[in-house]
Amino acid sequence: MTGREHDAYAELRRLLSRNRVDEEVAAELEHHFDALVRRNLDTGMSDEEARRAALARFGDMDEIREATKRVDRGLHRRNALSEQAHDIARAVRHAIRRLGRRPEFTVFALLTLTLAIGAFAALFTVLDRVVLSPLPYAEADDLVWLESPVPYVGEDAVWGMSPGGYFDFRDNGRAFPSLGGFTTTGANLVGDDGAVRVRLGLVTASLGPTLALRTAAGRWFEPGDDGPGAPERVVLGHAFWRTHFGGDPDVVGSTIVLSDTPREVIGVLARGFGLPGGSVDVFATLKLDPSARPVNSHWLSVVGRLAPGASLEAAQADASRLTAMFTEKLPTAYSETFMRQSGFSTRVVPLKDHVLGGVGRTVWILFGATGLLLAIAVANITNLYLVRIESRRRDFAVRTALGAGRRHLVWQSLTETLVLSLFAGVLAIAVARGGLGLLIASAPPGLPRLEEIGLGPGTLWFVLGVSLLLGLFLGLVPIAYRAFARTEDLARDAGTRSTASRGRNRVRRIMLAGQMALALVLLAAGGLMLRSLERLRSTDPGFDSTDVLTFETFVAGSRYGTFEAVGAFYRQFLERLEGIPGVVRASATTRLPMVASSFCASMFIEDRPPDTDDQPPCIAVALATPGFFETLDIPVEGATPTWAEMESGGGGVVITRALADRLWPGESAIGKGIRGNGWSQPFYRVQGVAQDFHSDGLDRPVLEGVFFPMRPIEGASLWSPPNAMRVVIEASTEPTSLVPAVRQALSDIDPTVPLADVRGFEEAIASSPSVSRASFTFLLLGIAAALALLLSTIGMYGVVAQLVVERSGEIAVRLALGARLSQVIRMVLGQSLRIAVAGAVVGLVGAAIATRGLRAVLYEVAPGDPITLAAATLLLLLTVAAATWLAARRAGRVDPIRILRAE
Amino acid sequence: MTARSTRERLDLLQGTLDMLVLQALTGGARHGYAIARWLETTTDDALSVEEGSLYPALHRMVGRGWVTADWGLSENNRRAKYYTLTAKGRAQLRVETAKWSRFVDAIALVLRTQPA
Repeated sequence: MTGREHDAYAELRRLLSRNRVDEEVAAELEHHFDALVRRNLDTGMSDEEARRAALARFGDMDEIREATKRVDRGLHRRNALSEQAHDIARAVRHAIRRLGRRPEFTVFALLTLTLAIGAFAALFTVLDRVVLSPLPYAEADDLVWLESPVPYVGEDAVWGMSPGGYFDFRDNGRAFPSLGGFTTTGANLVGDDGAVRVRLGLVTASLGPTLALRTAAGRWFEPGDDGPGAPERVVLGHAFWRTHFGGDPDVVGSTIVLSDTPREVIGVLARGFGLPGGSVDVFATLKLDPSARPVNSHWLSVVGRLAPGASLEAAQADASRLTAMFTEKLPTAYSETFMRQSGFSTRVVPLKDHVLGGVGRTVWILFGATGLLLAIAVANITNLYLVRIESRRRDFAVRTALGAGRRHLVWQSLTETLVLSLFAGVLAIAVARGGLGLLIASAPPGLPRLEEIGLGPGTLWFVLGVSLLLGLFLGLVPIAYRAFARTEDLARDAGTRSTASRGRNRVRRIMLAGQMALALVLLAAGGLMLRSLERLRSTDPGFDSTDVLTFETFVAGSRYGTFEAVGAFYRQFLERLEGIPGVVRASATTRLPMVASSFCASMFIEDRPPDTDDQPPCIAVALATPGFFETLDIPVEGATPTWAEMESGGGGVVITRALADRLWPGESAIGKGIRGNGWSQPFYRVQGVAQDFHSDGLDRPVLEGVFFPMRPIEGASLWSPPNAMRVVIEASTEPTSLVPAVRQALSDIDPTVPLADVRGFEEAIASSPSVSRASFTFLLLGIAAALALLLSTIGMYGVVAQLVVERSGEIAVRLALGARLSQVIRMVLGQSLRIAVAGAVVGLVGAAIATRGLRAVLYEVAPGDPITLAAATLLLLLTVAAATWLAARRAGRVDPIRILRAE
Repeated sequence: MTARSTRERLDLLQGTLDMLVLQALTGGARHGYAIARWLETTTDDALSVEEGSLYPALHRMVGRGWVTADWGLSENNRRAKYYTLTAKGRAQLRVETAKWSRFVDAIALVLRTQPA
């Protein structure tokens, strides 16, 4: 029995089965009933009695019949299903066999689809997890971040809130039913195997309900835990609990010693929970005092939960209302003058946006790029598929004439492409997994929840959906293309093959040109990123990072509570370090370019009246030990303070050239007075002016900052002692080879001080946000662009090769009439290059528009940069021309005699 | 009607019908009426089989592959559907018989024992 006859039979049976069930059940029951009647007759009943008794015995005949039929219909349905499954299995087997007959096409299509779907799925996963749902908290859309633009600095720099402002919002706000505050710091945890630096989150108890934090063990803080004088309690972060306490639930109730203070562990956070946008090892409470005198210091990070569904605008209006009343309610912190001159405001930002920053844009760009790549892949396969169908047109037409239904041919085509795309989907999952690994390994800092990313059911559904759509699309293309010709086309085509296929060729050429256009967009984008990265890399940072080792040290305030103690520790430590062979110089600072930033503060300048309009802005400040500028080879005009000057309380400051030019334009800054709190004497004297260097990122302006000495001068205080500092060591050998000796030196001086984040300075710069984000974007766009180029080239080659075969008759005539082979090749070349140029023109327009989306991630390169666009176009045309030439050479294999004879 | 009145008849325990039908077919192919008849005469009319449960049960057993059904001619030359036990049905009968014996033994043991 052939497959099609079998199909027809199954169909007939399905149609008839319903009636058949009814009839058979009726016949069977009838037989039973008759038998009962006969037996009753045998016992001597009359006809009438016999029937009545049988009926009585039977009960409700209809009900019995229905119950029996229900059983049968269930059986039939199951049979029909298994028959369908059988049909599908057979169709799949046939499709696989047909695909196997054309291994080149199948392998190429499979590879292309696998790569394209895999890349698309990997980016989808990142997009879904990192960008669309960057927060692990419940109802995260109701969460907001409260910030204030730093006066005088520009929109990018923001503060949190002052504690006074926080309490005012908490008590008087209408739009903020739940508010929580936090800040992060460091602490040392001394255990059996030495000291460990832990990231400590200081929080208000209300942060728990605000963020809807959940615990894995124990409990979160309660309101009584965060008042002034509350007991020292901590909650452990989940990851830290796993790595340092082996996930032991009994740790709850025990006591750990953090920076010399014993604290009771009361709980462990559930997996994935933490502060927005930062990972923290241990949580302790802030112990803010609402009755403390409010001061103008905006160090508190504040998140709020709006009422469900409340609008951001309403929250912003409420925040503005509250901020406007600060002068009245918190006069010690917010003077009329301050508010007027600084234009102080409180902004309400969706927490999601705050956490994502600009990273979301990068992911969207890459998602778009992989989408383009997928489009190219589809166009490519469609074209190759059409070429194949073209060669089978006569075959199709003959089969149609012989009675094969168009529906059957469509079914064949569909099963083939569906098998192909679904199989590619399965393989794509492996590619997506590998791609995700690459993404995570090379991702710039600032991608939230990256460590949680994995291939979840979302990605699998996505891959399934994309594969199905692609399979359907590819399978149905031949219909739109009218490949399954009707019988009458056969005769027409046989006579005039070359003209009839002209329209179909146009479709293929448009597809090919479209492919070229998309590839050019990707090439241009990759080129722009390459130029950006190159510009970024060639930016002179202003300091020398070669052979420099850097790490963080933190001395606990309980042991080192004064400037004297901290200064003495670092002097002793640095001198020990400089005694290690291979160490040229060692110094420490609170602000290390590209690695560690410190805070900014209002500066007051000697002899400059307080009521002038050019109020000192918030200026970057830092503390540094002697030798800092020398270690990084930053030239300083004037002098830098020595340990002797610092320890006698007579240290001056070093400011950067950019700041000197801003504060004292046109005159020497040396000897000028500057201080951080008020215009009273004494001022710190500017001892040296350092040459400009970049600190916040290579793509950001040079630093305008003040480096204060390690110890305040009498009468001009310096915030708090620098417990956390970044040490830099200039080495004459491989920097990381010094680590064991450094560790030893530190533990000799104080074993409770941990060594954290030990890295080569160059490596640290490469992983800093500005550089790593650019190289990450370039890496991925570059891969997409290279694949796009490869696919377009293969596509061009395939189409041209087919073109040569199709036009072999024409070529044979030309050759027979005496045309030289080079002329023929030139003709074919010219034709395909026309397609490529048409595609490139469209692509240039597309690239000029599409690359505007890159503006935010580009550095010193304009989106429509003509040089980049020209280079990309040239690269595309040259590659395509090479592929075309290779394919066109096949024209040389045309044998005029044989071809003409066949015609 | 028959020897015993309807009141004295026992209702079939849930789930035992399949087992009884399978046993009825061990003697060879039978149609529905013959199965019902055989069960009644064998138990001296103590057990009665409702047609309303017999036919759905027979058709279910066809679906499970325990019996097969074929149309044939009955003793008095009428078209009737004959059910034949399959190997699978035979195995099922063994399983159910063993289960039933264990059940009966257990119940008997309980009923013979006086609670302390």
